[in-house]
Amino acid sequence: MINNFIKDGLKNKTFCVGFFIFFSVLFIAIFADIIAPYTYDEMEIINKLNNPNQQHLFGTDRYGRDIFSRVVYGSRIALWVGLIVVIIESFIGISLGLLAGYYGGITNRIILFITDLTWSMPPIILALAIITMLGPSLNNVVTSIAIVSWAQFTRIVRAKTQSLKNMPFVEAARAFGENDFNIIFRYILPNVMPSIIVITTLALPSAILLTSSLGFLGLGAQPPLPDWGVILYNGIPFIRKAPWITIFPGFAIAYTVLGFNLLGEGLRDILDPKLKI
Amino acid sequence: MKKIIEITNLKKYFSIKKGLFKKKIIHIKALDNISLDINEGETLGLVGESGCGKTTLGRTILRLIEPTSGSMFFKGSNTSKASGESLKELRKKMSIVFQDPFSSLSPRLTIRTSLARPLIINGVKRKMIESKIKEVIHKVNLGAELLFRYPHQLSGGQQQRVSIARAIILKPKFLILDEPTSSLDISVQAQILNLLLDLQEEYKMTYLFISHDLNVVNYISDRISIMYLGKLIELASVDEINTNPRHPYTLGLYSSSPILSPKYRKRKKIVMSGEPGSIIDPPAGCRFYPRCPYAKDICKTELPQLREIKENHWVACHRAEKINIAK
Amino acid sequence: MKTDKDLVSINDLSVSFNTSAGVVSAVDRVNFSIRKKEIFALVGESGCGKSTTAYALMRLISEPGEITGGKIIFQGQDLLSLSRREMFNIRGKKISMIFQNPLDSLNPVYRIKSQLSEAIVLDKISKKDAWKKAVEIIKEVRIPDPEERANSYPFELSGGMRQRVMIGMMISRNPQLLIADEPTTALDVTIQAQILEIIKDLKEAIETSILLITHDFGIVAEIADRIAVMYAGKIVEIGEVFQIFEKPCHPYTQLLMGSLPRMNKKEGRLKTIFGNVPNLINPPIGCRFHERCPYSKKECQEIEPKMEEVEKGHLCACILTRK
Repeated sequence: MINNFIKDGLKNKTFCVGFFIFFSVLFIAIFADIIAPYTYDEMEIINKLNNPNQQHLFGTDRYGRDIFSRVVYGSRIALWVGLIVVIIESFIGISLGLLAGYYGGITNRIILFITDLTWSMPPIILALAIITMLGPSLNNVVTSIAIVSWAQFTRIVRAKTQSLKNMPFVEAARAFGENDFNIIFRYILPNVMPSIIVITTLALPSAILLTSSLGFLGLGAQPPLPDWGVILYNGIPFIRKAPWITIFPGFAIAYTVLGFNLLGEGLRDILDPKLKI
Repeated sequence: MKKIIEITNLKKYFSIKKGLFKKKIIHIKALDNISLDINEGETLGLVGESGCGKTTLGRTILRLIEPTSGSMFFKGSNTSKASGESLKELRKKMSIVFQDPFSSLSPRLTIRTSLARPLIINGVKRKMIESKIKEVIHKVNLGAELLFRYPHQLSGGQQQRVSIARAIILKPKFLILDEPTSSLDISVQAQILNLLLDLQEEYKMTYLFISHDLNVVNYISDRISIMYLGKLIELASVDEINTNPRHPYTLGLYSSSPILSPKYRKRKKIVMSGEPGSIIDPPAGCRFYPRCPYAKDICKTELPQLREIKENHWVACHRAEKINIAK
Repeated sequence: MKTDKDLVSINDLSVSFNTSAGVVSAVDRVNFSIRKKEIFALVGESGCGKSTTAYALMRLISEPGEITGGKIIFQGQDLLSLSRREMFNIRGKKISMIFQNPLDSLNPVYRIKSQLSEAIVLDKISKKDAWKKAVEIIKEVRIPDPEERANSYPFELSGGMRQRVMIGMMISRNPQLLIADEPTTALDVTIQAQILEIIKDLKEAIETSILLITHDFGIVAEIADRIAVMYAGKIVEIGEVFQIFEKPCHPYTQLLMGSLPRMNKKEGRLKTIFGNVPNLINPPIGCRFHERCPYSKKECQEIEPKMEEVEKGHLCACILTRK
């Protein structure tokens, strides 16, 4: 199965480009210490607001911090936050989806109600509201994005669970005595996995984008953390004098989000027809 | 003859609330007062068209669907009321094989895992599991190399054999076969039917064989029961049903069913008019009344009961004695 | 070998599919003719190529499939050499097709009346007249309350009724040939009997020939006049229905007949065919059935058997029939 997957993967251009971008961002994040010439909070006030030059590839900001290094280290925040957020929201979303789909009835109606509540509101506004309540910090960013985004998992997982629970192989399992817990985790969940994988790879760029958006609004990571959105936010007052402060982190966001979107779409193309139930 | 399954007045009604304020309740009478005994060691064929309830009956016996009322006994043990441990014990002795071989196996489990699960959850020891799996795979004429494959890598016939293997791995005494060969090619069907007969002999099992294909049912059954719109309308030996059907529906069914030889194509066919009625809030009298060429007034008002018209031949029809079969 | 009685003659038809795993030889040099006013059944198990042959007749083969050879002579013309426009005029008008699942073939958002008349108006009949004709057709296929049904949507009809509407639609322009691909597989036995009666009557009433594609020997026994048996992309036997059922000549047909449940188990077990259908990407040289044939000889692996007449109207592709 894995061999076929790799073969199909290499044929799919979207997947290949997406994977390359994803891998490059991952590489940069892991080896940030080696790649970045400076730390993200090293200030050289003398060199503030310098053009991109040999010592500072992306220029410097108002405190003389190297933008290149900040963007490089920012990749860690982006990926790390993205990962944690997706782990939390997928856990919540998948669990609720499985329960709603399998048990139906009141369980389903309650979960559906809550899901629709969060799903029907524009995520950025809801996230704003939550983080304003909790106070700006990276942890609260994680919390608010997770709350806003788990519904995307629940909807698909619930639908898939509903159709799977009536399949003969589930009936057969009940016929020889499997209990509900085993049926959900051994029979239903593995068959929902392909859909979950696709949603996860698309949830990641959304999370990154949302993190950056909140950072851009000043409600995200606190200084001196080099969250890309925050770097952008700090660069706005200098957008005429020192546009590089906004251009490079903006490009980093776009590059990463594009890459993950392509990866997700490519994955969906490869996985969907194969393991379709 | 010992009875392995005894069903008395079994009912399964699905209630659906309809209307704007969900006030009106409609009853889908999928099983309406079914009483049936299955003899140990026999193959009872269960025949009917879509909506007759045969699939529901199979699943209700196994408690995959909960009955609304009525009782079911397996070798004297009450299965309709069993729960927890006793239900689990009973489930070891009864099993089921479904129609579509591909969707009967989880696509994400290897064949080996699908076969191991019934053993694991019923407390079979590790060492025994491997040997039991090997034994059962051999019994269904499949090679051990298939154990580590996934269902989509097997043909329809092979998948159905795995399904059968899983059903017999706990050595059940009663096996429900729900259209087991309807999705298969003719030559594969023949192999599976032969296999089922071999296994029945070896494991001393009783079969409930559900199908809409009269030719297959005539081949494999000892006795045949016919269902129509949730009711059991005739029950007799396979020879008796074929030579002396006593219910107008059975007559129509057997007459319209294709015979596997062109010799009989010019026979007088009783092609029934209309479509099967609905099991939603059915009318008071005989369910077959709207389509019955023998119907009289009594049929419209009074529901015919299943009665023994001849030894071991049961019919639910007021006019059973008057049915004239011109062959 | 075309005679005047022939409506359509298929000569050396080959269809292959270009898949990522290789080229599948789905239909290989298939030869048969359908006469006027007859029900011709093309039978075989799954994967034998019978549906592909039918689709090729209508030139409905699309990527990755392609017709790689042969001629289809219909009313003096080779259908495979016609332009798309010319073929369009034949499809639906002279050669029509009904499929297995009528629910998939009817558009759920249009009333029956409009779907039926959609085809009729192509014959330059006014919409009003076409609608009248539509109701008549519904009467013809014996649907009760034809006016009411004509105004219904497909989901309001049962499976049997939908199939009848399909048939009505397909015969509305009086085609010479109606192709029926597993027309009754999805239907109940009693409804199936009604549909088969309608199909049989069509032969007489509007003098349409019917090419019946099926794996169900029951319906073949009930209504077919002649049969062609297919295996692994090739036709192995052709004959009249009684010849095939009572004196099957090809070992595959014989085994197939033996595997039909025609009696009770008390009288013995069913015959089976060991082995599996060969891979059509690299079909075996010689006879495609030789690996599973109980009579297989050395020559069977080398020489591809030709269709030979064993008695009048009965042909068989097996070198052992020379005996």
